[in-house]
Amino acid sequence: MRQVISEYKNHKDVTILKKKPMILHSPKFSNIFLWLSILVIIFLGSCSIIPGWITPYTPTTMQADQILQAPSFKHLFGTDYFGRDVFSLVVYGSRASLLVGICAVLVSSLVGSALGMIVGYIGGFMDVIFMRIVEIIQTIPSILLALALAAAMGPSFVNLVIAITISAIPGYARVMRGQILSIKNRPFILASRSIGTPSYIIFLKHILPNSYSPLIVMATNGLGTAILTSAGLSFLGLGVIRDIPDWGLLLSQGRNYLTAGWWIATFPGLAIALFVLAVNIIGDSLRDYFDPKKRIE
Amino acid sequence: MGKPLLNVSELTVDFKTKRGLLTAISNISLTIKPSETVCIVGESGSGKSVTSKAIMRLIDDENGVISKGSIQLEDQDLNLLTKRDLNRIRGKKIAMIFQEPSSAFDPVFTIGDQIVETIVKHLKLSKKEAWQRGIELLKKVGLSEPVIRMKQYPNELSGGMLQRAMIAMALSCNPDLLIADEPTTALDVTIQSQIIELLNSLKKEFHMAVLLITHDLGVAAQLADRIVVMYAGTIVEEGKVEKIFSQPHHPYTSGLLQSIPKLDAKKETKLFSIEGTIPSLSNIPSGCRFHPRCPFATEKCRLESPPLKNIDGQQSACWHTSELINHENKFHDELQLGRTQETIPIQQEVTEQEPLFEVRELSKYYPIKHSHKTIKAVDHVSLKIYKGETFGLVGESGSGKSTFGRTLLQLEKPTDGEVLFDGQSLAAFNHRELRQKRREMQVIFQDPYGSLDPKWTIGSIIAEPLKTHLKKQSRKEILAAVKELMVKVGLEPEWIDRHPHEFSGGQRQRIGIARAMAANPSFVLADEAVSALDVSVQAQIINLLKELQQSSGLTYLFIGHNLNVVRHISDRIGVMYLGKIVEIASSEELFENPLHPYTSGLIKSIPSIETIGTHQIDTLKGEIPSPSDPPSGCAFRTRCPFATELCHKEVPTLKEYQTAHFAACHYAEKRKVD
Repeated sequence: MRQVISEYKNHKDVTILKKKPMILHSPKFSNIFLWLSILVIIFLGSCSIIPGWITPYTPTTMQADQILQAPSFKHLFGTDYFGRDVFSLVVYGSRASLLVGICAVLVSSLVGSALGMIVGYIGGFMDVIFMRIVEIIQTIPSILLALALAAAMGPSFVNLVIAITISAIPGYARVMRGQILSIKNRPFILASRSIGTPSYIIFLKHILPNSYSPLIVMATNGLGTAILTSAGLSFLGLGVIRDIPDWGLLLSQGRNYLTAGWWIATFPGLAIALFVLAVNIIGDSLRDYFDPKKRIE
Repeated sequence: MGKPLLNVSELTVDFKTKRGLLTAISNISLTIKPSETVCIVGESGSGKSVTSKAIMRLIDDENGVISKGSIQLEDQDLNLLTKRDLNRIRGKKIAMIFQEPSSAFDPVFTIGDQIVETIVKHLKLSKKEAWQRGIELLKKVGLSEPVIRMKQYPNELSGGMLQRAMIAMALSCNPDLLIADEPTTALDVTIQSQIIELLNSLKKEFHMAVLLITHDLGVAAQLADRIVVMYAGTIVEEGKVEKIFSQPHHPYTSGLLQSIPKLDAKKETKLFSIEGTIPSLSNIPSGCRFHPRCPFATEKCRLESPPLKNIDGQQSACWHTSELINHENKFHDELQLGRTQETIPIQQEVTEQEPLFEVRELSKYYPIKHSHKTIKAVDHVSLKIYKGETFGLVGESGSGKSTFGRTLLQLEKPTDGEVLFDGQSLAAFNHRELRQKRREMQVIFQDPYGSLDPKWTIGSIIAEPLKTHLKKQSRKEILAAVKELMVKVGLEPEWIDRHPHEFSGGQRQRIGIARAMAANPSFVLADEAVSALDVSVQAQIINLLKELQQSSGLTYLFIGHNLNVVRHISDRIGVMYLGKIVEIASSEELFENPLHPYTSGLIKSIPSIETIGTHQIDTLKGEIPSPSDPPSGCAFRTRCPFATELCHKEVPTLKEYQTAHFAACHYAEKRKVD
């Protein structure tokens, strides 16, 4: 049967038969999701660039008479224990969060996957040594590692990114190494070798294009983790000290008031979730776009 | 015989896919009488496996729906049964054997556990009695030491042994109907012939009906009473095995039969092949589904779909059957004259016999982890491949033929020995020189799906050798060269920007061939190049390979396990067993006068469509031993009917017994005289 289905998939000029297809799989529906995600990203992006244009209040204004107000039209997301407008806080907080998240993911995925791919392709002694180092790093809980680094080097934006990056590198390295190992032994690699193609071309043109798709998924998931890790560090006082708190800090501070004002922690949390979800959907479509088997046009 | 055991009528199965319903089989009707063997034959995509799974209602688990028709087993309509009632029938009344024995068993339970589970469930025996019965069954299917086998895990048994155990499990509850879905496809010829023999004897003993699904007409000829030929989800012909093979009533059946290389066919004749490929389910032609490939198609075939008509007890779905029978001779003549007589002019006898490859004592050993032993995949092989010839290499899986091919081309570093290519030692080249030398020796791989990079377009795949070796060519020149190559191997040049997954297996193999031919090599290694293809497509590819050899004066090393195919294409054949060459001769000589008992065993194992039902009993016994621990002396002695004390002690050397006929057997001289 698998044959039948794959044959079916393989065929371009398929006519839709009798029954309506499942809505979730229909290309139209997933397109709506994709466009929504792009809108979310554009919105959050503009939040971090031009927050002043979006919010009615400045985030640092404390209105003592408006403490712990529930969400209303005046304060969309309510107010916190200092009387700050939560909506404005979330909008202004996006800059720090997105910046840390994106920087950390970019650096760690690039460095991690490059290392993993190189040792995976070369193999042998280098591979053994490198993988043992990676395993050692992995035995240390990532938050502890980030904590130790942040404590040693002092709280600053760059150090925060470095701390998160180092704890995330082993994951990327392992996955990409595994990818390379499985692709290295596929018949088309042997075919290319039998033609006489030089190793570096095989690596760049055959192995790389066939191995990066899990990286996209991992990196989009990593964005959320990175934002949360930075939140954890901010919570412990090792994050970047700024007058405007980032999403993570908002989340962890709001946690203490969960019974008094659920909205303080909920909306920053929702913002993180929405951002990660949107990035994930875009990541998935990107992966499909680069896969010729799934490209339907 | 009266009432049929199984009566399938007008069965239609649809599959739910992302883009709607897809009809996999339509209007299938067939009956099986008690203790009758019915065989469904057809190429991949014909719907034969779907039919068998529908009978077991296994398609429910694969998004399949029986949208029409009924399946009657005795008095029960299987289509109306609940899941629970079905489970009472599965395994007890209907049992199934699958294609891949190694994945049909659960690896974490012993063979015994799995057999006992079935018996306890259906026969309500105690565990102890069931275990005892399991041992008897294993003995019955010819497994040695059944008591030990019961306690072993699936990974401890070989493929052939597992298939026997699978059969034992299927028989455990005395089923009325046994469904065997490609039971021998994953096995070597020798093991295949043993399993055929076993099935033949068991079906008599157990009085059960067998529904056999296979793509191999040879297997069908050996086992079946009746044959059902399927094409693109419909039955095109049905009838008694002798009749189908002697006088097919459908052009598809007739084409399939002729696509098989015959043992007595002249080598220079082109193999008959059905043009085109089986249509995909989403794109089924109107009218008769076979008409785009049929040499007899008329306007009527294009418009109306022919019903199954009964003529002399043989059913066939063709508008032209009656004409075909009336003009039977004419029909045959036409096929013979018009199509098969087309010959490929045989090349001039190579007079000077200049070797292109000279292999001296080539060895490739693989170390076994945590052990001092090695696997001797290739063990001191010496041979010559002459310019312009096709050298065939045959042997069971595990004999080292593919490793030999890869080591020959230095794709794997040989442990020992020397390979001279055109007089130069390949080992003496450095990395870069060797890469440049690869232009002259290319490979066609077995797996048409895996050997093409899925992310590349066809154009860039074919251009890869050009870009690697002929760097000075401009983009335009490369494009023109690729298009020319595509035409040469029978692909449309406008497909240049498509990706491999859009093509069928046969077309992908053509792409692989175009890539191999791109840099104008002088030598091509075809490693099981047609093994993964359907019979009709296989014939097309063989013809293409022969034509290309003619036009470019190529030398081939053709590795294969299908002896008929290798014989058809090769000038000389080498037989390999456990890393050693045991016999080399010209292909006619080898088949007419095999000197090594292994060669004659292999030849006898071929299921032939010319001898229906008369299966060779004296085929090779046992299985190929593990290459990590080969027998002492002659490696073949454990399976050789003529082995003596001498074979035990001394390794026979490869000696020339007749002109250009080498064998490695102590008793070759004696066999020659016999």
